[in-house]
Amino acid sequence: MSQTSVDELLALKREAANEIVDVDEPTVKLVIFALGGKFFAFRGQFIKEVLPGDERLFYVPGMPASVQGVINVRGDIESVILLHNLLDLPSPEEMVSGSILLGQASDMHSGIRVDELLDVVDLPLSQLQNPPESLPESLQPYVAALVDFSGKPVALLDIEKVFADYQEGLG
Amino acid sequence: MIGGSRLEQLNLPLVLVHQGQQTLALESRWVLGCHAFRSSQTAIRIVEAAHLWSQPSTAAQSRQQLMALKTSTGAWYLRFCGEVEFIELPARQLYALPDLMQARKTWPAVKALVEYQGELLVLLDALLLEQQALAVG
Repeated sequence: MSQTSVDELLALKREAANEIVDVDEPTVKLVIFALGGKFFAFRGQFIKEVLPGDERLFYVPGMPASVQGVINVRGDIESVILLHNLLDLPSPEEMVSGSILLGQASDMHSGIRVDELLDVVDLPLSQLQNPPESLPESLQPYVAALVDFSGKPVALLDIEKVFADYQEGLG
Repeated sequence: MIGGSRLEQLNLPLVLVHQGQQTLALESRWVLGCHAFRSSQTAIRIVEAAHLWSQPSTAAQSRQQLMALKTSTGAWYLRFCGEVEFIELPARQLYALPDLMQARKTWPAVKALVEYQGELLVLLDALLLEQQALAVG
């Protein structure tokens, strides 16, 4: 067996360490919530903050019913909107405070009231499935993928499309 | 940050229209005056506030006021039930309407928001309000 110096061995070890392949699957962070009796999610990168639903809300007249009002988030004024109409979900019989997700995508941002924040999870990208053709027509433009959450299907929403269509007057 | 430091020195004079739980703001430069309405004032151009925005049910309990608003050629008069307040706010308490609301507003006169005593109030565009008043006659 040939003699190898400590320095050479250390160099080899460093080299070997650099060659370690990251076998971890790429993951995606999802903010999962309930709305209108269904489960949805946004990608975590588009949700800046989750606020309690009882955040003080100021009514603004002259807005469609889907605009609940505005909130003051440490000096930043954010609208708070409901997505029930846009996603063709039943309107809540009584308003639950739930949570407010502060969403930001491209140049658009707003608070989105959801019935309940369920979880924030990191899932392997491979768990995202293409949305089935049987998806309701009203959801098809907005659902980018489906994932399983505790045995229930969760529709991953495309927040950019949601905001863009909302801005155009849908919902 | 020159703009920022200049903003710190600017104030915004406003007239607040209090109607029960609802308060709306107007830039005071468009307001010529305000006084209690007298039934004899029929010769001038008066528009009911109820024709321009929905009146809170509690507003009817307040006294009737007549506000004179400036136009390029003279004045028009807004009759409403409520109280007025003249205030001046630091410019930092003026906020643009969030983009989605700007895009979706159904009342064109809604222009911006102002923060006053912990509340966020709607600032109305007096010129657009006048156009609306002209449209309703």
